[in-house]
Amino acid sequence: MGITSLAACGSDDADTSSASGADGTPVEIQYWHTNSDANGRPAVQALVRRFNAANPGIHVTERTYDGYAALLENVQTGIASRRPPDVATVGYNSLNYVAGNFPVVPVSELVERYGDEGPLRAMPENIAALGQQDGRQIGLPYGLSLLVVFYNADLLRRAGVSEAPRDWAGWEAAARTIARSGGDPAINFQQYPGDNFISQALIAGNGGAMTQCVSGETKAAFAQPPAVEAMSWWAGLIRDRLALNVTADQSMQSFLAGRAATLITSIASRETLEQQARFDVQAAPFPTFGGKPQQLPAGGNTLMVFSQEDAKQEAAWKFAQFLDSRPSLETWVHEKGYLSPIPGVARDFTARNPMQAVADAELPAAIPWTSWPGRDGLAATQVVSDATDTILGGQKSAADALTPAAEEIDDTIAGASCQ
Amino acid sequence: MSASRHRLGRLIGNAVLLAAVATTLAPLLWMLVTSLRPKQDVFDGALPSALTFDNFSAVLHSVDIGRQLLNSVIFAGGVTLGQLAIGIPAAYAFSQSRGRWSRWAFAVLLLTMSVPFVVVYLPNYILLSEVGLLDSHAGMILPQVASAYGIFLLRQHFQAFPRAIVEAARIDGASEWMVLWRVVVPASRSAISALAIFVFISTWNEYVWPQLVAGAPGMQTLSVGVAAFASEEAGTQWGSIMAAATIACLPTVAAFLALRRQIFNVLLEGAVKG
Amino acid sequence: MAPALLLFGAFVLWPIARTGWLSLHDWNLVSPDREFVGLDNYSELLGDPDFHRLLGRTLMYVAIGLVGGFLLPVGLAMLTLRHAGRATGVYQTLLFVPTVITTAVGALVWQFMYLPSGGPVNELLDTVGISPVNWLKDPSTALPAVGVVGAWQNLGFSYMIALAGLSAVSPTLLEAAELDGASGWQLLRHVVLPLLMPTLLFLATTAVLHALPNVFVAIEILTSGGPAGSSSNLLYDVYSNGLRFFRVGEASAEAVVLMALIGGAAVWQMRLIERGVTYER
Repeated sequence: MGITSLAACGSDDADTSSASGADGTPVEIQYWHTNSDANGRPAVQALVRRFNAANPGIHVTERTYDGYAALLENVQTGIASRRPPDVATVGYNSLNYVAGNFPVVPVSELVERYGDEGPLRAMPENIAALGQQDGRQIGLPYGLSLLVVFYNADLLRRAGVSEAPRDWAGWEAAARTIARSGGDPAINFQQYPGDNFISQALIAGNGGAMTQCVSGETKAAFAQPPAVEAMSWWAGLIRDRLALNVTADQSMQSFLAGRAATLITSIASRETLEQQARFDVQAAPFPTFGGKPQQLPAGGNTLMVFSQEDAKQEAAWKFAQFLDSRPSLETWVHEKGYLSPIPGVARDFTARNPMQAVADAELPAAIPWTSWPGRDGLAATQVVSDATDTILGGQKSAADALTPAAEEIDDTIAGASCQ
Repeated sequence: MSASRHRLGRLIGNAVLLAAVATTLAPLLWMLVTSLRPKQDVFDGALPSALTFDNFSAVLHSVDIGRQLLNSVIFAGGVTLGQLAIGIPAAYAFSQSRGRWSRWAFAVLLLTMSVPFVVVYLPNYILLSEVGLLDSHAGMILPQVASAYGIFLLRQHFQAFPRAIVEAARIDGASEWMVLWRVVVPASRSAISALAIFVFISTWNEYVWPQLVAGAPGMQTLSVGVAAFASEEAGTQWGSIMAAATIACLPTVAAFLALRRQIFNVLLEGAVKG
Repeated sequence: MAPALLLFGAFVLWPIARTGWLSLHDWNLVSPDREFVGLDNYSELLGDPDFHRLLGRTLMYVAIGLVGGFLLPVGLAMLTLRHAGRATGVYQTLLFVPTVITTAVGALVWQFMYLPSGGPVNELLDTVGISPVNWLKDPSTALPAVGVVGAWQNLGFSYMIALAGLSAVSPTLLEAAELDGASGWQLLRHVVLPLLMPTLLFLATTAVLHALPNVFVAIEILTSGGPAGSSSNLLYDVYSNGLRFFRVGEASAEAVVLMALIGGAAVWQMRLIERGVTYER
């Protein structure tokens, strides 16, 4: 069976499938993702139906989980009990952990085996790199979102700020103006627990990095001067009551209640904000530090293949390529409010949504969201997050919190190779 | 004590109680009000400008509430029946036997009662997947049936049952099984139904376990559905979430309000005696 | 009894044994090489200052559990019996409502209550001149804030038990105890208290044993244990270490420590209860 289907799929023909079980029953594969009924799952279901109809030899069932952490939890226990998913959406920030600890079948291997680069060909280099570890393609970049500054244009206008600033100095000044007239802290990052999306964006924007490769070994870089400077600056904003330090849901509440002037979060929130805000919501690009180049960690996920059996593996790869193909992305990007990993998709949609266009324009600045390698990779993320908490809460200075955290991480991920 | 002092005490006492009630209910009132507000009104002070069922219809359209409701009923009902079916005979056996091994077994049981379920749910998850029971009602229900709490409560109750009656039934030639089901159980109906209601409600409200073992489409319970609905990557739609939450709470609150007299009476006459 | 034993064996005892066995290993749940490390996980835990802090926080939650599941309901029940009269049923019903609500929903609602600016809790504090508190993001308030949610959700249950138990003592007896000064104290100590003992012990036991499970979902939804671990406890850490970071060995060792602590407390309390019950007879 494996050989025949291999031969059949060696051709570039993506719409016919000969893959089916030895006795003619369809190959059953499972697709695990994190899209809920209210947000994206109907689109996933439509795509699955479309795929199943076009590929009678394959039958995909989808299954949704409540967030990336829950999904990963279930992939891990699924592998442990030998019932892993065939295709799953794995968050960018656990790419290296999954690559190093799970029996994932790297995309580079799938391409070699089944001979089709599919969507990868169409992706810009920096986007394809989001799914790579040491230059090897592990997953297929799929879900994609970037940080923007959503702002309450009415509130800014009332405070006398006529145009959204472009850099941090400008936002800081605007926040001071608002604070002087008795307004709430204006700079409002949406921080999810245990992830370092915002910290990385600020550190990278200030010319620093979370990790570096020192003679072939991954090391923490977030205790170096540019990083410390960025984090101290952030803590200072909170201390001066120019920035909020609240939970993720609360930051959105503060914005929607018309109190906080901004909500700095992923573009994926656009539709929700449009629907619930009773003021003029607009978006500005994530600010830069002076003249330093914009560098933004990419949120979202790659499609990873976990099937070990040949028939399933081939079907899984085919399905992953289908999801990431131009026609599927047209449906998907629009429904989910994500960005497209392939340029030129959903042009109408972007044209109709100025806010979406702001995020779209940031794509060239996308860099991989740091994911720590090794057995303790996920715990390492938490170490950085805990350090951030103590800095923002004012318990420790940035240097005092970041230095021991970097040492702890260097200890736990010791020996993890890199290029 | 003078009558006026008594009246003052009464006033203060009731004021404290009312404050407690207000604190307790405020979050739930907020939930209800939010669910009935227009979307853009969510953060608009205490009183809504208008009332609408839009949020409810949005939820009913995007989520398969009927299916989730059915799953919750099967899950909570299954666990309740299972715990009673297992617990009643076990509790009776423990209440009657004074042997060394049964004392030990009971002590072990009590110890397991104090082990939080979270501690064992990783091994249980793996076990279920090994025997292919993930995403099945049986898989959700079975591990939860093994609860020591019910056995403990019923054993306490059965112990208080007059031994003379049991002895008399035995002398009349009734088997232990008959004594249990014909004599002891009917006489303990109130305690058993109180336990059943509690097990039902607490299982209905469970979140972590059903989310772990039954995340597949069509298998989610209401509580899992609501939380999934709330933790949106795309941001929180408070109106719809609170509508979903209200729908999830409605059956238990309604059941409680309808049956509260029975529940309280049962507890007043039964639980503490044990 | 056989089916009971079978189920317990499969879903309670076997997993506990497996947890014990796993605690002697270094394993991430998927890796084929599961390394036996003996008691290393334990010695690492016991020497880790973070773990000591975690134990301290666990005790804090138990303390909050005792206040919310014992002191408060007993106090309210006393007030009710003395003063509420015919309103008793109404109080009983209303206070019980949060108990029948899904924990996840309760926690979601409180997320809003705790908004630092514009949230009802801070608005209320503002009216009495207290400046706003960043409840869930301040390490000194996150734990109590989460604890309150757990207590809120479970108050009704304890209150009902307390009410039932306390009503075993006739109001005239209570009044007599209240009136008579010294002899009242004697009455309280030798008549009333023994009558109430089983109820009080039951409530205290439940409060302690349920302290951690009661706040589990609230932690998960409100803070995920943060900021910087300040609202975590041993039970939550077992979960996050095991199922979020997949450090199965370490999480299992923590689970064993937790079970030992709880088991110890349970045995101790069972002794008390046995004594309390015989006292009554």
